[in-house]
Amino acid sequence: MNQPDIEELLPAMINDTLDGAKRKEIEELVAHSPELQQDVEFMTFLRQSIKEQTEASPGELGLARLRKELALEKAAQEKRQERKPPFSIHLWQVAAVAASVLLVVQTVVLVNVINKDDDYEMLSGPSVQGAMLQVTFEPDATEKQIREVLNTAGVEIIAGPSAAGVYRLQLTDETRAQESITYLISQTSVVSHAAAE
Amino acid sequence: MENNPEGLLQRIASGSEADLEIFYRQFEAIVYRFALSRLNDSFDASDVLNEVMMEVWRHAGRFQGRSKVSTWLLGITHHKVIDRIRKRGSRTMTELDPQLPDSKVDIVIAIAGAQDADLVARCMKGLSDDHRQALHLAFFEDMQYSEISQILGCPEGTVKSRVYHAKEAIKQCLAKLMPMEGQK
Repeated sequence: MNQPDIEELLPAMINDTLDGAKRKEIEELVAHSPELQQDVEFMTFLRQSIKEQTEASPGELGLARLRKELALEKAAQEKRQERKPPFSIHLWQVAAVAASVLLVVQTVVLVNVINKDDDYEMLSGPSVQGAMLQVTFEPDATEKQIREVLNTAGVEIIAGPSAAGVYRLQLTDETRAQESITYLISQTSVVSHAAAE
Repeated sequence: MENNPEGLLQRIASGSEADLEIFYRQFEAIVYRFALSRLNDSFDASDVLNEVMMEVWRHAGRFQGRSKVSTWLLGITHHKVIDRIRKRGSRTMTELDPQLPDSKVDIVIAIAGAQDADLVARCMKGLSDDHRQALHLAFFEDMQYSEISQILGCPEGTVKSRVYHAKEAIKQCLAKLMPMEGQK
C-alpha cells in the first residue's frame, strides 16, 4: 500500500468504519510512522471538534411545521376530490363522443342530399321505371281497338309515336313482360310489331 | 409495532401520519445537520428538512431496502440541497482552496488548533461545499466511504479524495489562525 492510499484510508480508521483486515494493516503502518501518528492525532481531535458543533435542529418547531403542511396538502387533496365529477371523464371519451356525433350529423346530411336527388328531373322527362316495350300499330286499327289491346296487355303508352310510328310502352306489371309481348304479337289486326327494349 | 426505520417507512407509505412523526423525530437532526453543512444557513436548512420529510410522506413506498434508510434519506436531502443552491444562484462565500500546493504546515500547531471547536467551525465554513459535506458525513455522521458515495452520487475514490483534501485544507487554515489567536 502506497502513502496516498494510506492517507486516504486514515479517516475511515478514525471513524471506525474500516473493516478488520484493512484496519489491522493500517494500524501496523501507523505504529511505525511518527508522521502518520501525528496525522491520526490531528484527525482524532478534528473529529471531536466537528462533533461538538451541534447547532440545534428545528425539533418540535419543525414537526409543527410539517403537521401544518400535511394538513394543507390533505385539504387541497379533498378539494380536488370534490371538484372531480362522480365518474371520471377522460379526454379519449370526450373525443369518441364528438366523433360519434359528427358521424351521425354527416350521415343525416348525406341521406338528405341523396333524397333530394328525387327533386331533380332530366331534361328528357322523368325517368321511367319498369320494363319497356316498343310497338307499331296497323294503319287501319282504331283508337278503341288499340285501347282495348293495351289495357288487356297491361301496358301504357309513355312516348310516341316517333317519325316511324313507333310507340314506347311501359308494363304496369313487370312480372308479366313475356306474357304481354306474346299477347301483343298475337293481336295482328291491331299490332304490327312488338318487342322488348 | 416496531419502530425500525424500514417498518416506519412501510406504514408511512400506507398513510400513517403518526409513523411519519416518529420517523421525523428519529431523523430530523441528521437531515438538518447535513443540509446545514452544505447550505451554511439555518433557515434554508430548516426548509430543506421540511421538504425532505414531505418527500418521505409522498414517496415512502419508493424505498427498496437497497441501502440503509439514513443513506436513502440523505440522498434525498442532497438533491434538495442542490435544488436550493441552484435557486439561490451564485455562491457568495469564499472557499479555501484545497488544491493549494502543499506548503509545510506545522502539524503541532494544527493539532492544537484541532482541539478548538470554534476554530474548527471557522475553518469548516471556509471549505468548499463538496469538501465540507464529505467531511461532515465522514466525521460527524461516521459514515463509510461507500455510503457517502451513494448519498452524494459520486465515485468512492472521489469521496476519499474530498475527505483527504478537506482535512488538509483545515490543517492549513488552523495553522494560519492559531498564531493570530495567540496575538489577541
